[in-house]
Amino acid sequence: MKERDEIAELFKDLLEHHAEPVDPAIWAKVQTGLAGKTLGVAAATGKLTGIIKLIAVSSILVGSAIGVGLWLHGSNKGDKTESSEANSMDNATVKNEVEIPEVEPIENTIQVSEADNNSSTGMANNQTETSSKLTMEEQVSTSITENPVNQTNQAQNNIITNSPEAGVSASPKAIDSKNNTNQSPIDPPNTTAEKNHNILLTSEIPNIFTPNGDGKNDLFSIPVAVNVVHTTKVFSQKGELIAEFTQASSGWDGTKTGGTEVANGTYFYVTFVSDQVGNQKQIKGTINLVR
Amino acid sequence: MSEQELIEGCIRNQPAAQELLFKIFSSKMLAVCCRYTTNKAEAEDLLQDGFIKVFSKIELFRGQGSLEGWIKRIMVNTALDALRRNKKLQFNDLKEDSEIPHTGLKPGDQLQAKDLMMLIQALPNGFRTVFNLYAIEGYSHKEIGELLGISENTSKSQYSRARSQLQKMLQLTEPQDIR
Repeated sequence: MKERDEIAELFKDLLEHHAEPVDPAIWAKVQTGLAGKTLGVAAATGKLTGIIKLIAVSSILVGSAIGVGLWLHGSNKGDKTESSEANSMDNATVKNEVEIPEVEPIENTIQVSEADNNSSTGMANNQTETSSKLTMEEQVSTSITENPVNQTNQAQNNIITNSPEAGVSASPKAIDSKNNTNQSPIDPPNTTAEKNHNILLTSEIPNIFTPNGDGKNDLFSIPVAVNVVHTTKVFSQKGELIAEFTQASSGWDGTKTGGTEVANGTYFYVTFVSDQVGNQKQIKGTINLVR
Repeated sequence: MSEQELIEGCIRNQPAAQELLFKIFSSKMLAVCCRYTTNKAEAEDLLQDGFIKVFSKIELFRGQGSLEGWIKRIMVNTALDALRRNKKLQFNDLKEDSEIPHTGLKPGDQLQAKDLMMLIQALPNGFRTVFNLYAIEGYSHKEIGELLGISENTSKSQYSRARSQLQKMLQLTEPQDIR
């Protein structure tokens, strides 16, 4: 049993989910770096801007220079009399040396991270996330049971909303296991978890929205079918109730009571969906807010 | 867009999907990178390298654990690689008492993430790395030993020294009980 470590707890509490504002210029640099790597694909699709094309072309030149350099290097061993060719070879070799270290460490790192992925010990980060989700679920189910409307519904229809089935099919854990089984990237997202909601929802509940006022994806709403009602609560990672909305309002706009915008990040929601003939479902999940 | 769709978009090299993924995770990951470096510029370099790896290897993400956890591991590994490459990781005892930074905190101020970040960045590289891996990332001393090529006991002693140094810094800046 580990003894209580207040310093570690303090730093973990404040820094584990800390975020630092990112300079947009970094995204441009990442794109440039990617353009160099996915050269073949990029050139084939021809969707790149002039600047990136320029970089691509120069990379090809560097690449061919390396090729020539290597060939010269091979054929030139021990023979250093050809001055002009030797010069160009030197240039190429220098470029070559600059290029290679960038490629090799990547392979190493990824292998390490894959090993981590497979190891049973894993990262405590995941464990912490799961535990915070679990805490959320507890809080959420308490608040739902306290809601008198839901209690009446449960009594009338004789269906227990908080039954293990309902909880599991909609909990983040179910989403995780869905990912686990989804080995092929082109599998259709038609899973059991979704089929259960089919009667009540018109599509999958989104997990990302961008309330930045550009008119696209500005609201988080529950895609309920006709004549289906819902009550949805949004919580922060600390379990604070951020917003509550129903089918009557259009959705959550990323603000909390009082109209202040909440920070980018992951929020939890729990929605209780029901129709007029007694089908009902409690769905829990996470929603990513990105402005 | 669901996370699965986002990942598939990134696998197909769709710029919009890649940009969205970057937008979602970059600020959290920059904070991770900051913890492993001494300044923001270094952290931004790590972030850039890390995301290039994320996009070129995203098809290897198998959905075991969260996407965020996977990306974070790549960032941490990128940071460790950079430390190894620059031979900055030394675990000697000489640097034990590094300069105590002036955080500008007054007694009674609420401690904030940026204050703690400043303290972490002021630690010697070895202390900082072990402290991060153990206290925040949650690795065991055994795993840290394997990652950094040091013994389990070295990891333990580095951690306890890092911890006591942080404690000293906190007491200097804030005489009251930290909780």
